[in-house]
Amino acid sequence: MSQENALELRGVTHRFDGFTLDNVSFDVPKGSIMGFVGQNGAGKTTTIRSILNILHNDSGTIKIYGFDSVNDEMKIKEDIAVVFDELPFPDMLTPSSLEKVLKGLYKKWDGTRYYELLDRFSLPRKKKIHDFSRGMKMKLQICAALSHGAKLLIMDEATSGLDPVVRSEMLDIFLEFIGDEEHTVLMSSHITSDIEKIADSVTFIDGGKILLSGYTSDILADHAVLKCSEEDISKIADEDIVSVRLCDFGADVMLRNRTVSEENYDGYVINRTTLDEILLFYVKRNSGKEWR
Amino acid sequence: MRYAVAFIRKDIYYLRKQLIIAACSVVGFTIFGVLFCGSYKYGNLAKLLENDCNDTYMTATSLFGVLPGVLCLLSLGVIFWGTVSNDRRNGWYMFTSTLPVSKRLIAVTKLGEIAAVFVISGVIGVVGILSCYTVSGRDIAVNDIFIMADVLLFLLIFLLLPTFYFFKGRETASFFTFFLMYITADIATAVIMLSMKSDLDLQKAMTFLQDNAAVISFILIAVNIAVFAVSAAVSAKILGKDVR
Repeated sequence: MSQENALELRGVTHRFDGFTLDNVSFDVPKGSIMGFVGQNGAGKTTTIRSILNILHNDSGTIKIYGFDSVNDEMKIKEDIAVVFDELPFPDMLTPSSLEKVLKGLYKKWDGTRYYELLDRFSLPRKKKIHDFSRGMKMKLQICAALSHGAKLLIMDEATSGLDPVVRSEMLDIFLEFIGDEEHTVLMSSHITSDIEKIADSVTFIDGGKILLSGYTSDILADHAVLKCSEEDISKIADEDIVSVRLCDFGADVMLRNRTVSEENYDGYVINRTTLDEILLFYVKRNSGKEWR
Repeated sequence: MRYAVAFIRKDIYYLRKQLIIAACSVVGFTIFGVLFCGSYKYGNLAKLLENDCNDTYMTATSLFGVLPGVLCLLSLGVIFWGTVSNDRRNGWYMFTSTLPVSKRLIAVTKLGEIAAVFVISGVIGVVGILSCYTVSGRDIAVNDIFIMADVLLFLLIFLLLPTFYFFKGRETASFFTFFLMYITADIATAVIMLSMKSDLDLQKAMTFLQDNAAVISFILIAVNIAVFAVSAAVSAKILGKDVR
């Protein structure tokens, strides 16, 4: 394993009844944020559970900071923090009583940091968690996750359902977190705008298979949407096309190499695209009469 | 050990209110039982009932003496069982899967926690019973109490926690628990009724049990420990699958 990678998945496969996580491989470099993107049911949470060794994989290996996720599970879990889409703490507790519980669960628990983060997020210390809004609950999870010296932060749809202000506050915290070169974030989400804002790299998953993985800037730079008539689609080389969306006024063609395409298809309108569009074109290809 | 203490602390924080209410109820009933039994010698309701029944084991004094213990066992024990469903519902088990702890430790801690609650409440109950007997000036059937406590521990704790895990702490688990207790009580009643009609000498059996209470208690404790281990292993396995 490269010492530059915080997380390394190789050929991870897990078969369920009706779903297979199929040969999943990707790397998350140290000191970076990776967006893990896919529609609901694509396999994001299953992959995260595999990383955490909650699921026992049929094949493949996962290394976290060089340690095997199965054989060295107890050693590496102290260095992992996970933020789920729902708060996993008893709702009768207060942030203050939660701190007393959590400090017994982590060797490197930092109570001062925890209370600093509570104050920063303006979270009350003595209010019961069940009286918190969803945004407050997610902030509380972040406070707990960032207070025990974890090096790898895994977020499972943690920003879903939050308003833009809260999401923005959370994203700022993640950027601060990776300021230290050792810290890394794997952020699963289907809100691609958040990923686009902060993620250094991105991995797309669909139907349990990895569609695309790479640096966000490269993926955005490489892909482009070409607008043409339905008849002109045949003029574009198949190897340049990700997929085609037919519409009333012609066709949108997602190209996989913008620089080359701009040279080859001079005269057509070629626009920059977004992660949202890229995901859509990869997921929807050959999925109906409007898609090719 | 650090993790076990943290898990127990979490449950205590979670159940703080219920525990205070349960403790107050138990203390209240115990005081009432002791006062009631204390008034026995002056001729209270217990005296009247005893005269009517003329049966040592069915006196109101015994009833009020045993009541605090039974209440302790039922109220506190059931409250702690409730944490199984709470832990599942609020995602706590998912959270624990991110910690460097095994499912077995989680199950053993939960078992130990519930066992400790039962033992502590059992001790309070026994103290209540002894107090009731003492103030009413009656003979103390200590052997019966210890055997009963052993059997209760065996039935209520170690067999039923895996049940709660299996049913994921849902209402079905409570229903199954009460159903099991009901069946057990029925079997006991049936045995007593059969023995009364057959040649089996129940009194002789009771005498044997009382005479050998110490040995029987040790055997039951050994069985309890063995069942504890099996129960922890089964619970851990069910819990592991549940979290997945």
